[in-house]
Amino acid sequence: MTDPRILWAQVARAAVNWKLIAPLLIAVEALNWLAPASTSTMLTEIAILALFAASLNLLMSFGHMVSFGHAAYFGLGAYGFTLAVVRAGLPPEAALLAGPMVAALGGLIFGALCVRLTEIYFAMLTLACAQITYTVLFQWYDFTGGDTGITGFMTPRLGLSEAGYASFALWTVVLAVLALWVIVKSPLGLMIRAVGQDRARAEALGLGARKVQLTAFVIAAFFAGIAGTLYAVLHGSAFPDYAGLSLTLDGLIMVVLGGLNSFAGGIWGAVIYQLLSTFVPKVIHEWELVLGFVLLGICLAMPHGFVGLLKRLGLGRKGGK
Amino acid sequence: MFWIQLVNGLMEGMTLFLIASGLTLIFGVTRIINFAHGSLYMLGAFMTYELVPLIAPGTLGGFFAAVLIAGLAVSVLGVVFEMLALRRIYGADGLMQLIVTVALVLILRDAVRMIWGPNSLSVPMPDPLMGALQIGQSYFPLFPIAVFAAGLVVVGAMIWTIYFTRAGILLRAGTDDRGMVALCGVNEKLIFTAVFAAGAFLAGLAGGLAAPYGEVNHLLDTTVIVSAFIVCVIGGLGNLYGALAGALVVGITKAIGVMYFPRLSMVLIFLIMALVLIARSMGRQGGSAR
Amino acid sequence: MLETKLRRTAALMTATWALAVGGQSFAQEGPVKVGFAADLTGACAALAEDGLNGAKLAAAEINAAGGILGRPVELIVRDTMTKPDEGAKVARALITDEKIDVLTGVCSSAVMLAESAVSGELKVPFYAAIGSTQRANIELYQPYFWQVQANATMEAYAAAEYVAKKPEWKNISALGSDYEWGHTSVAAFTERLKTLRPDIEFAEPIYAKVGETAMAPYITATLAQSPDAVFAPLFGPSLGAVLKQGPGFGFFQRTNLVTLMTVDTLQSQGAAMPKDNVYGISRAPFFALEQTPAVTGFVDAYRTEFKEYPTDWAISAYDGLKFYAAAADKAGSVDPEAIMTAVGEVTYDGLREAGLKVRALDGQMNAPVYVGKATKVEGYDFPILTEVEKFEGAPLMPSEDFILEARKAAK
Repeated sequence: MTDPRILWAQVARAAVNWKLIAPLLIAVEALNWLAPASTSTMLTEIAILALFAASLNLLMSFGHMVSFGHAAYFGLGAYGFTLAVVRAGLPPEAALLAGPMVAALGGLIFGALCVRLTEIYFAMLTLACAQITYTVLFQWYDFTGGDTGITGFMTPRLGLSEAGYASFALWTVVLAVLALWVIVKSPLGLMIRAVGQDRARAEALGLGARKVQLTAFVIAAFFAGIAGTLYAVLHGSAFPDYAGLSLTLDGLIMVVLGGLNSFAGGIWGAVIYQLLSTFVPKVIHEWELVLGFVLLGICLAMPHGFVGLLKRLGLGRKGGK
Repeated sequence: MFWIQLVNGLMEGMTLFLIASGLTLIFGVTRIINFAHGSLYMLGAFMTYELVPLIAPGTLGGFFAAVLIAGLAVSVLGVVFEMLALRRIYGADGLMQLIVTVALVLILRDAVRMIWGPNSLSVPMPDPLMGALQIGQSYFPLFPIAVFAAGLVVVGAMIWTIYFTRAGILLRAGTDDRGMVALCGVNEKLIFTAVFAAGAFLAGLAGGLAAPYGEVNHLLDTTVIVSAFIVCVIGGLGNLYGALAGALVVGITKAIGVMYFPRLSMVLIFLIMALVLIARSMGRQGGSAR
Repeated sequence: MLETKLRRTAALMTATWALAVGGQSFAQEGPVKVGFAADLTGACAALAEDGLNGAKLAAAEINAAGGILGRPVELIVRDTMTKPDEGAKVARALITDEKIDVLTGVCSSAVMLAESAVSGELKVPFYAAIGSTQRANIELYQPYFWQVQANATMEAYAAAEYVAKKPEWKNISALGSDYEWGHTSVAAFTERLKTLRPDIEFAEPIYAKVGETAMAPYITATLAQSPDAVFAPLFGPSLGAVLKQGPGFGFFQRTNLVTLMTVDTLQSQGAAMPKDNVYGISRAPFFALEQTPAVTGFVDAYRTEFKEYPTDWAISAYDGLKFYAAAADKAGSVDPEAIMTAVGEVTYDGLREAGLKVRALDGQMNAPVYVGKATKVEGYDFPILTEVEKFEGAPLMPSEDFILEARKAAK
């Protein structure tokens, strides 16, 4: 266990950013309570996807493990929660814990296989694991409801109002991101980074590279599972799509758009990408075309992502990596 | 039935190889995962749709001419994309290039939808290839046999290019060590552009060849891209012969699988890939699987 | 379907249609808002667009005739991207922000169930005109739902009735897409045909991956069962592939294909359609409907407006909106409770036939199903269905007892 004083010091250091982040969060909360309900839903989605992207970013930016199957753990989180309610008969409030646990368990099983490989082959094995998960959710009619999913098993948002649930999700995500931050700054985080940067050297130093990578994988899966659970509660439903390839790709786009090699990258990316894909389609029928060009423009204009741009403008925090 | 399924598998395998070959070629040299490969394939199919009625419709020659021109047109588009977009960010992280190709996927899909509409279209099969070769009670359709033959021609042309031309030497050198090629004074950018042109051509060609054997619509891109990747990975990314072997293995396993484990069809190719990758990781204890 | 979709999140363009109808003066209450949350991109794009076109024509016609209860109809269109979570979100936003009076538009079964759940929760009427899963009638029924086309089970029953009348067909195979629709269709078809024709032998059903386009192995496996006919509930691209790849195996000389064949499928096949032995199940083939002035007028108007023939989806969506207008007229209001009572009572003369009604117990309309033989004829540049037989909806609907039993079993 980490010494509590060191832990506190970490949180306090993170608090430097609170000067910036706290007003932002307050502004978001104000917007949440003042704007119409659909804005609250949008904010909830942004928060959930920010957590999903942040968890993927832990793997990508710090562990240098590119996953092409991270949606699997989002989906497992959603189904872990849903099935705990539908099949095990748990009250939804208690089932909230089941989602992330199932996701972490999935991460442990698949991760143990995947960390034996590196680079593109690691990525492709994560893809295979995710597709296997998707198929099981899609085809196991008696248990998972198959391709038409599970709906109508609970009051969406645990009966909270849109704004109320947005608030709940927002603060859950803030806590989760904070936890991720503490992990990144902890000795474990150092080990993850050491293995990510130079596996051979880390092994020479006596680190069990695979064990460290597996730990990172399970942690990332756990946090993706929280995001998935929050999402299932938001809609009061679970569908195989939640574990599908398109969400994985969205996650990758968010992380890269936000900026690799930075803690905040995934979060920024999620905010930008979600805003784009919410508002562009409202303006134009050919939204994919426009989104494609915007994405292309952003990539070409800032090849190091949004955080890279912030740094160039002198706004970025030092030592994000 | 087993032998017919084996033939079915070989046929599908060759189609998969045609799709995967361009992808693995591009990856081998540029290390770019070209997610837009399926989109280029789709464009090849639509170009063929437009060209077939113009060039001696119904004839074998007209069809193959249309497919070749479609491939070339797609190749030009690939070059334009490489020069205008990809070339600017070769310095950035490899993933940034992946996202740029994803952007191209979105653009092309909507563009195709705007031009040709969302409904499926049908490319007529050349008349001589409509029927079947009947041996006893067994039928072997002619069209895939012709595609198989075309695939063999492509394989032959590739081997010839790789081993007997200067371009092939550069290609092999570039795949092995692109830094060294640059040090030798070869214009690396030119190699990248050329490889992209060749890869896009192969994608367009594959799309054109497959077009009469199914529907042509704006969702073809995504149908194709994932299986193309898997084939490449099974064969070892960047390895053309590996891609051929991988494609045939996937095609045959799918066809045979219909007889013995039908419920697995949705996940079968992912299972094969997972098994190949896991076997790879077992084979090289502790090392990276490259 | 087809995971494989890259697009993300969002709701779509507000296409406001048919508000300005020359010279009509409407009451001050404001328009009746129809939320059209449709799968305009993704696997369902083509179907949803046709449905939207049909609804646009209906709205224009209703407005030209003075609107619903003197108020103009306004379509508010959003894209669900053929994703259930997106559909739920869009439906919710339409209800809470746009204050729509009724929700419709979906095609995919999953999106349909997701939107139906939102409709039930927020108590806003929702009708399906394309998507047709019977789960929405049975175990996932909610009292603000109805559907205006035959559901998947009824279509399969109609296919069974048709097949039963071919005494020379004795061995039947099934080739379906491997998902809920494929499985339930095969099950319903088999169940009905067994009672109609106890002499028929059924082979083990074969299921193909959803969206599979390399159908040769499945064709081979099906033909190895030596069937007289193959019942094939296949998802779009797979059906297209069977029609294209089948001839190479002599499929259409060796057996008969009975499958879902809507006007868009007929059009996309064009000249490639096998000459013989293809039988299509259809919901609203414009050429086989009774050619009343309403039907011919609609087809002409549709062709003028959209430069193509109306597909089944367009006709169904047109009937859907007109039925809603009829229900509102009967109720004298668009209040959800009043509408739902009227939906169960009103009788509507639609394009497909006169006397369309919705059963209150499960929200199912007694919509007919058409089965015919795909044939090339003069006058159309695509094959149409000939020798079309119309199956009335009511006898195809599962009995009320059956529905209640099934609901109880699902609990």
